[in-house]
Amino acid sequence: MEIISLADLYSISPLLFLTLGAFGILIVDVFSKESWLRASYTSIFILAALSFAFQLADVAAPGKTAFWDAIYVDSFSIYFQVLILVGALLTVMLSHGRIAQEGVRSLGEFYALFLMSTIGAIIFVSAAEMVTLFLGLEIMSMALYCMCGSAVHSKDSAESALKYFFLGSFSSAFMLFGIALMYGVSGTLSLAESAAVLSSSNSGLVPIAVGFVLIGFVFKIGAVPLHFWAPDVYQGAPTTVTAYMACVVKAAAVGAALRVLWTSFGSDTLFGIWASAVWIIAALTMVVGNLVALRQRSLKRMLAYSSIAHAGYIMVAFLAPHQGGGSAVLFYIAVYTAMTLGAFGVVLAVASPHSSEPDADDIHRFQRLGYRNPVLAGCMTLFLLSLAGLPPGLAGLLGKFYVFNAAVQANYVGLAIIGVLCSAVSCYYYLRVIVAMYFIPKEESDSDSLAPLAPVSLPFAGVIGICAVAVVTLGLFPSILHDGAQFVIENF
Amino acid sequence: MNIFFILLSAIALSSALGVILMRNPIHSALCLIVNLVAIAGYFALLNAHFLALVQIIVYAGAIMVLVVFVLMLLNSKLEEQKSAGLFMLVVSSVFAVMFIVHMSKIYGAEFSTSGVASASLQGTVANLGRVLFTQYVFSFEASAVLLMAAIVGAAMLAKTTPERPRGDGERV
Repeated sequence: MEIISLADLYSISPLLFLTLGAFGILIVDVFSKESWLRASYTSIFILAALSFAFQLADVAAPGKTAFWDAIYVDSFSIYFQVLILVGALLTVMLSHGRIAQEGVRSLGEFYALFLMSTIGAIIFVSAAEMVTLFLGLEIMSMALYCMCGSAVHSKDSAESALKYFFLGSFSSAFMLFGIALMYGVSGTLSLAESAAVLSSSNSGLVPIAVGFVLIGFVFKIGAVPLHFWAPDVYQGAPTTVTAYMACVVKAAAVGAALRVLWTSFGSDTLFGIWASAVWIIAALTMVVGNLVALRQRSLKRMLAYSSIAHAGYIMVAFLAPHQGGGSAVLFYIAVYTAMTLGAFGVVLAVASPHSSEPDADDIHRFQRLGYRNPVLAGCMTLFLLSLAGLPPGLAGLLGKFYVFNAAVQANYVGLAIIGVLCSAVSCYYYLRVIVAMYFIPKEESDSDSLAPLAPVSLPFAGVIGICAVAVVTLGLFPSILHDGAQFVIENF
Repeated sequence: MNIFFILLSAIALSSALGVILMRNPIHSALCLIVNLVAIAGYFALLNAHFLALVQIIVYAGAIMVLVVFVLMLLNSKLEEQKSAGLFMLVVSSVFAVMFIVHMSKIYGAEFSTSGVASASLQGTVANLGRVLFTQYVFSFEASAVLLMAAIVGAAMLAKTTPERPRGDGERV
């Protein structure tokens, strides 16, 4: 029997391209010092991976695996691969020219780590057995720890990297311990095979294993008992890395958590064990995330807490596996990625390039933006309204509707009510930015003292434009994505 | 329970006590090496030859050398005998209770052995190599990317660059 077949290699072709890019850029870095060359080199390899990920949809089948049952080749993993790659591509566009300003010196190494982190994220969501799952998590995190600290002369960046590294390693250790216990009880590493053994086992180790694995996921998703790292890490890291963490890494963690919870821990007995824990975590996450966000002045911190709150909304739908929760999660995470990446794009365009300044991304820099740069302010309004879930016609509202609808159908009415109330609270801090952009009289603002806005570069305009179009299109025609998400979940 | 097990247990327990009771940190570190080698002996008794070797090379070798180097470079003075604060006492007893509860769960728990190869083969280097390059070949290759990420990241963080950017010149 052949060890690796051509079909196996084809099914990981996105990973192969990303690996090639990651190692190749280290060589390119030796010969060229041009910033744009390295950014476009990275984008080309991500684009190649993206096109192969689309091609894979033809060979995908429910429950199909490759490499001796190491990774899934099903529509679920391909959905998340595409999402991760699109998020990574947009982040690279945001990074061009900007990360050097934020103090990143070694651009070649930065992009190599960036690609490796994307490799880890893809392995994380497509893993079919626990060793591969853990390796994916570690590749993604290890590269990310270094990316957080890549502005080597900035104290904030170093603080962010250290905090993330220590807390992240700690939570990984918990998860690894949970995986070891799962293996001990079930005797298999496969996610699908362990489900039957785990549900019939009455060993006292099963709840401990479920709890430990859940701790690992809760940390990576950034949900409440383990969210303390998020604001400091998000603020200290270079803004491009922050955008990457808030979108791509969160999407990967949500995908992997959904897969493990619904596949390995999917039986009714095990659902009973983790459902109450996820109920409490989701409720706390929505409440704490939104309440603390009210007091933030730094836009990066505000978006960090907002991303915590949105993690809470997403986790609500985890509890409705048979009531449309799956397609709600898939829809929400895609919409969330578009809204948040767009918002980070505007913040990057408006905030001071010198991130060492204490008020580099303070809300007062957004004062009267509606008059200084109407297009930028219009896009920001779009993203913020969508994040708040306010007007019909924007994707954010529909995402919340699908999530809470699934929760109500699964008889979690209380949780849905908490979610809607928190969502109402969140309007305050999103609207505050809009008020600052449009409704501050000229006399009361200090916008004149601010340096004039630098012209928005083409890649930036591209990212903001793509995200704005996505938010509006998905808001008007949600079935484009939602039908696909339902198809993915039917073939889970 | 054979004589080797009793012998190794005695060494492991006494050296573990030595780690926490010795005043001099270097002595503690040396006790830890003895402890790790004794644990490697357990692995060898369980037919896990590869794990035993890795335990000695990685833990007793590389990591302990690192610990001893750090102790020497930091030139740490002998720790003053400090009385443990109430907070430390509470925290450590909470963790101790958690550990005991956990261990009592594990003790007597039934572990599935369905996926484990026959006892004569398991853990041997040949068998491990066979599994590593067939069933787990994907994980094996993926760990190469993990190591690469760690190396590239370490190089990037450790590289001392001047405050001035190299070629981009975009910072004013």
